Amino acid sequence: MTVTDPGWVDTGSFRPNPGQFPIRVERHLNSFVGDHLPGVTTVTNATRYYALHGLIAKIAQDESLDEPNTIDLLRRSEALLAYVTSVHSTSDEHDKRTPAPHGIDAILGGATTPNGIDLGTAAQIYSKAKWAFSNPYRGSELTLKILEPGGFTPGEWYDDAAARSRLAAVVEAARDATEVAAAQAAELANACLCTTAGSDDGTWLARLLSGDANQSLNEPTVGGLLWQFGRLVATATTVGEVTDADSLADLIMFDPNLRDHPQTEGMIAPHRWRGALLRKESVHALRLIWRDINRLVDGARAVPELIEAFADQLPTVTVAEFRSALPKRVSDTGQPLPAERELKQLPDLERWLAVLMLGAARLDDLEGQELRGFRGALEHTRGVWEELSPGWVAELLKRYDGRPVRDLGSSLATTLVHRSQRVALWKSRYDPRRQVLIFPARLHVKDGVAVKVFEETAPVPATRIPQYLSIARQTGMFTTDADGRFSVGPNGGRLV
Amino acid sequence: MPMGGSQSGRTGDALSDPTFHRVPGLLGPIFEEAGTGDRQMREALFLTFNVDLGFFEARLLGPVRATGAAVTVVADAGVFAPDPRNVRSAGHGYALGLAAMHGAFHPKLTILAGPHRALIGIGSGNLTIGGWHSNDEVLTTIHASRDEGIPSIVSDVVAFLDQLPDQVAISPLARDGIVRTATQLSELRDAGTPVDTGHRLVTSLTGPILTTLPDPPVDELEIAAPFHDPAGQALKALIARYSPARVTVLAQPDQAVMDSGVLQTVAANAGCDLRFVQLDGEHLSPGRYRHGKVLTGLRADESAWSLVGSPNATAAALLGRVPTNNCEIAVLSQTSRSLLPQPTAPVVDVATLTKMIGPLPEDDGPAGPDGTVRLLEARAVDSGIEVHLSGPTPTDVAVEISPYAASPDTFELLGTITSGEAVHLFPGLFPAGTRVRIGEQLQFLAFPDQVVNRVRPAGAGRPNLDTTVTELFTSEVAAAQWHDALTRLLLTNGQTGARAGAPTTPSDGQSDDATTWRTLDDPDRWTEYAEDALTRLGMPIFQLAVGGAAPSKPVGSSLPNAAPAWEDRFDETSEAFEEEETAESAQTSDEESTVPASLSPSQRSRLRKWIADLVTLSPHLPPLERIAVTQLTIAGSSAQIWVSADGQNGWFEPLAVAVEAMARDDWPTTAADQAAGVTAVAIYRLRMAVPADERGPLAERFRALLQGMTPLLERVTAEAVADNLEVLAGSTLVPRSADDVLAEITDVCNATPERAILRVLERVLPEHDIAWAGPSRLIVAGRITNPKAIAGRVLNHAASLGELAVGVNAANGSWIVAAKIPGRVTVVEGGKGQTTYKTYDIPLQSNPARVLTGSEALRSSRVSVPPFNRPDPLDMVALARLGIDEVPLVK
Repeated sequence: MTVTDPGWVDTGSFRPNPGQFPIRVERHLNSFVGDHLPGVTTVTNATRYYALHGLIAKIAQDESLDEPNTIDLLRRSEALLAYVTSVHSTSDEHDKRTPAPHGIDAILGGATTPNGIDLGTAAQIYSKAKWAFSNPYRGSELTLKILEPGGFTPGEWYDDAAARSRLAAVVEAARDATEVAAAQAAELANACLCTTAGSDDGTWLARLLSGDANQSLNEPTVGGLLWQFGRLVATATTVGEVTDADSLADLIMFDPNLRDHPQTEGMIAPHRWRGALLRKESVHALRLIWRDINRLVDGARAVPELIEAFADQLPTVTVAEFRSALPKRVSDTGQPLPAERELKQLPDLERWLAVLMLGAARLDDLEGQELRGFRGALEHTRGVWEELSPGWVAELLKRYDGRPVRDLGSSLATTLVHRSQRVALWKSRYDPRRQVLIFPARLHVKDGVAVKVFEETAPVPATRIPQYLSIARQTGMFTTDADGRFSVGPNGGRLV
Repeated sequence: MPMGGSQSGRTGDALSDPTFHRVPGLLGPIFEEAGTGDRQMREALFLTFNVDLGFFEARLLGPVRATGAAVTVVADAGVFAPDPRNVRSAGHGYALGLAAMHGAFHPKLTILAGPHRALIGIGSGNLTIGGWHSNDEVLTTIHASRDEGIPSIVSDVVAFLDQLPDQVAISPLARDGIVRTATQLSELRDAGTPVDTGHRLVTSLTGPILTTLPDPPVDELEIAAPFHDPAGQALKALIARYSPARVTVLAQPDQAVMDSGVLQTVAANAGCDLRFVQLDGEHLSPGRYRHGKVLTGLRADESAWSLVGSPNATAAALLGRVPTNNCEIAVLSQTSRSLLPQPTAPVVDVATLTKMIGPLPEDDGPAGPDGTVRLLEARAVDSGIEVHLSGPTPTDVAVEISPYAASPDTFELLGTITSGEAVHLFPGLFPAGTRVRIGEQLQFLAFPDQVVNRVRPAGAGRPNLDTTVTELFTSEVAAAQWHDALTRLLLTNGQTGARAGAPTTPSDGQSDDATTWRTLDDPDRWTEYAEDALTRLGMPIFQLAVGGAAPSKPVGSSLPNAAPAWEDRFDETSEAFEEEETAESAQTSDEESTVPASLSPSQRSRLRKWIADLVTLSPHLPPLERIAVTQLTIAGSSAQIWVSADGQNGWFEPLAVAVEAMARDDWPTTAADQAAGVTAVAIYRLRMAVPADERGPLAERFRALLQGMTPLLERVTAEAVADNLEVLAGSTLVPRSADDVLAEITDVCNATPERAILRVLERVLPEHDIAWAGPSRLIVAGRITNPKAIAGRVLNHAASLGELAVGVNAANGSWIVAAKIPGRVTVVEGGKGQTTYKTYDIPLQSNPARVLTGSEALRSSRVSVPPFNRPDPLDMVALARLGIDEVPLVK
């Protein structure tokens, strides 16, 4: 029997962290790009690492290296490749569009010597992970069969000669070197990340990343889908100006010449990508709306007041009236029109809402492969649309058709606040022993009060297209001119 | 969090961490009570202002139900605005009551009561994630025990509960829960010895709280509260009652709601010195939201009494009474310490403290001319749905309904309650979880018989605390307790095993192997068993055993149907890395090992024995326990406790025994995929111990083991494997994927003898190209200096094939063909020199490869005769039988 005298509760550690995907509206899009752009992820941005990892695996196999020695060679080689690229980046010959090598900041910050770097130290500090940067690349390397599942061993499509063409010297130098002077690194300049396009490993990797051209056009494998996307990009560069992922996306979505181009006739990937990219517009609009709701919280704000403040920014016209003023979405021939690009006259929040409305309407515009790219198969289950999917938005619009847009905004904001807390609770982890609760959210609703713990952001949803364009350029599949316009490169022959 | 401009008086000095008088929270005692497994608690009651049902159901309901209690939650109807997608169990896993009154229903009271013990918490924290985790809250915890004494404040709590339903309109089923709780507590009180601890409960049920406080005088008042009424009435009344020389208000800039100017005026008019303080450094580094409410009276610089609980420093909380003002409770106690955290510093710019947010979430002033009729309950009765309002409705109100399986966004009209009615019966049958709505007010269909369902005592198999895998391998005590719980399960069962397994369990102690698990496909039986298993295994191991989908689902709250179509699918995303990540930020520490390396020899020995004992139990355990043992044995295989890491003389045999126990064809549907996934991972782990040449006792044992596993492995899914990869941590060079495991399983389970030989040869001769060139014809090529030796090695590894031709083609041009048929081997060599043909008789039981690798004496068995540069009829027998019409062999 006890009464514990009153006091402040020791609730242990409450660990907020920002987390990502705060409203989890990108599930279908992520799933789509995973299936349709294999071999590329958002973090595999330097192509030559594919070759380096394959080469280290091959050497480990040939020399029967044990784990510590394999890791040691991997780390020393990655660290040296980073330094070689860093040294080369100061020369005029360096291609400035090349991504920074992994771990270079740590190397330059902690392993420099008067003449260069201490390679042993660099290999220790440039990455905290045991297997360094092979982990982020591993999934893609398995997909491309550069490595084999089940261990760190070379895979079926690993090309030893190509990998060694530029990297053998780096790996050999990395084996035993202690200090590497800048001059020594300069001698290895032909292994710099920027030289991939013009070397044998670039040719080999371009072959892998070009996918499989010998697939059925309407029932392709994953490799076939990769090839179809490459061909779509190659065709797009001849139809319009491709300077980045956004310009490419607009061509895929809205350009009738690309849609009907004989080069892509019979292929399914262009249609699916058109649907997926249109969906991306809705996903991004939801993120922007959520970010703007967060911006209305300065420290803390009662949730009802927050909802009201959000709704007050919206017009008083009815939803039906608002929708009737939206631009035309489809041409007479069924071609999607760039309605989402014709909303610039609207204030931001109304623009995001308009994009959502357009997305909901496009559900009825699209069919076949375009529809398949636009929405996930599970988003409509037993008559119920998944929350925040285009179909769900369409039903919401129907319910609010005759009511003010402000009421719609109020409902949408309530949904987003609720959803963000469900996501955070779903992601939270509690350790009863240590009484530690990890709660990943930027906006916490506490006892009816919304408290901003971290600033919210609204990144452009990942399509992997920026990464694809980058690595495709690095391998020589594509090249860019002085104005940044893409065209098919020396290793892109399989795409045309 | 952005901060406003209020500055403390200290600047530039080194800041020290604030010191609070900390007391343990309620989570520990609740988990501990759940861990005892005797489930003696009968009632659990939560009174709260705000409630976050998603948090409650996901984090608290399971442990509370595991104490054995029927659960009742009562929240303020006026602020009740749940996210319906977050509510699964209201109305059947627990009673969700709403309280409607003019003031705020504001008590924060937690009670778990049983015939032997009770746990009571009275504080400031709502039933929300803030109130239980992230805010700074105050609390008084009371433990009552029939054997060790009953604090006198328990009688105060009983009295409060006795009065509450008469003064506040509360949902009928929740009112029943309050009455049951009061009854349970009073029975305990009457059965135990009363002890006066000096703590007293004060409430606003019997009068304004201010009038129940100790008599004057006090020299100084200290106030910590997140809300002060805007007119400063509470402060004015406190000063009027006590005439203190000084009042100290602990402020929290930007968060505490007050009008500092008004408070200053009130104090100045009364001639009282009002000081605002804040935690030292709080303007630089904001801390948690301080939601605790403390009022302390100081006498001669020493604390005299403290009021700690729900009342804010507002008129509605301190100056009024139920029902026109708030319902509040707090503990009044003598204390020798100030409860303000230290150190504090004066607020320099007091004006910046003024913050009025509105409508206040704890706007605990009178509700004004509200009179809103609240939806209190929707109860399933035999003839339909009985809807209860807080009073007669002045106008007709439409009642809408959203069946559980339908989208929570869509409602249809159920009917209308006409003016003057407070209760209305609507016809219709709807499932648990169904939502009922009047305007914006929401409730969940309640089933009277289900909300009083209690989890039965675990009986056999005393429970385990929430031990993690790591703890099992680092704490001998935890490991021993865990093993003991499973052993007791067997010793006392039949029982638990039988209940889990089937009603057909023999009473003579026959193992569970002899019973069927088919009856566990009944959802109710499975739920009942799973709750028992949770108690025995502890939450972490239980979750591991159940698999990846389980942790987010509250135990004991499973609904009768499958997941609704609207259920969130947050986890189904295939993006490998989150989009704002880079390769640098995506890196995670992969250094963690299941077991620290520094174990003594005796510790290692005991852990080895522990695993061996566990797997001995396994064939007699129910499904989830059996899965858990296999998982632990996999995890243990990479522990630094074995003589060698490769499985020899170590973990291989215990794991093989565990896997054997998985070979059943009647796994309950709910557990079958998980069983298959765990078994696949176990086999993958076992395969690592099999030598590359797949020979020897481990290989034999492995092959034999596989024979019985096919039915289970046929249903293995990538998802189930992925859920269990964590138990492989530390055992593999790099993290394995589910595809890695599935590929290996497919290989070892489906291989023909030819494929198996090829797999072996690829491992033992990795530098050479090896391929089948046709039936019984194998070709090895590459940089080979001694083709004959290679052919000999191939014949050795292909001993299981009665007929085989091996062609070895060296890069330098030399080659050999060795054709083996029963009792005879023909060897043809060529390339660099003249082609020769030789045939040897091979006695039964002799190794054919010895003609290629053995001494000249062994070659005396040669039966072909010179000249050897052309084949004689004897040579042609084996060659013809194997379809070889030209040499060397080519693809």
